[in-house]
Amino acid sequence: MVLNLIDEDALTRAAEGDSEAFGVLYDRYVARIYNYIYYRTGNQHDAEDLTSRVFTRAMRHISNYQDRGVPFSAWLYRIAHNLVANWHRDNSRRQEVALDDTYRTGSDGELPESVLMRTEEEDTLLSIIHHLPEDRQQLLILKFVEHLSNAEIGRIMGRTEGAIKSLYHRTLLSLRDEIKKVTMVIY
Amino acid sequence: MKILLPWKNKKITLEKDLRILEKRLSSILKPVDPHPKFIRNLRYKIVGKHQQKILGLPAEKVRKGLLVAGGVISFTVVVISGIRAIVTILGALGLLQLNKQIKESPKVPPQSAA
Repeated sequence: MVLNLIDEDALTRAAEGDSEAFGVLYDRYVARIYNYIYYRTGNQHDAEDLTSRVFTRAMRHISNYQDRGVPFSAWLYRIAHNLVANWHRDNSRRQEVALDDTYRTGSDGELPESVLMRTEEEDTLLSIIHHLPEDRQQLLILKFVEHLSNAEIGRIMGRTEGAIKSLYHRTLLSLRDEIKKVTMVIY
Repeated sequence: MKILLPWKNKKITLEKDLRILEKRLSSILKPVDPHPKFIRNLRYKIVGKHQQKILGLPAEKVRKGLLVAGGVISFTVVVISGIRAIVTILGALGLLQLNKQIKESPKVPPQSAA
């Protein structure tokens, strides 16, 4: 059954032109890639557009994919990373920070003032995250959105587990410092 | 009474700060669900146009079905061809036999009119 194929077998078949095998890989990774792009771009429309481009490109170049100990997901993230970088370059003049309100909902019974305050706080933190270097943004998304372990993140980002742990610590420290700076400016 | 050394106290504050920050990050960076219609349409765009779907059956089943149907048709053609060959051979043998009988039978002179 095609659905039960492991990534490597699905890849081999997809490279031979089996579109159903590619469909299996698509089903497995589309939500993850979408999430990554969504948090990097900050809006649903561009996330959909870029996700579409990632998979179109992957489908076109699947025969060129060579397993060098790098998982297929890492290859997809690499394509997504490059497309997002191009997108940021093209939109460098545009201010794009706040996320869509699509997924922003206050819990039942929450006062509008507290929802507003929470949203402002979230926007500030997201804005700070968007100003971090790309590798740190990627790390935070893979850790908190995808819930991947340091080892898995390391495989995707091409670094050792120790390097990821260290990068994560440095990222948290710089985030904390940035938050302090912003808070001092506001108050 | 426990005395906290200033540098130790600083370390505790840092760890506490980072824990709070991690909590805030996990409350903000939550997985989002892409729109199902988008997922469906993109799948069709990428995979669907290459996929041979007949009556909603997956391509593999269609391929197997076509293979079996092809096999059955080929087998039928072979059987019919075999029967036709046998009939042709038998017919040819019959003709030869008849020809032989005609040749072997004595010739009767034509009777002249009285």
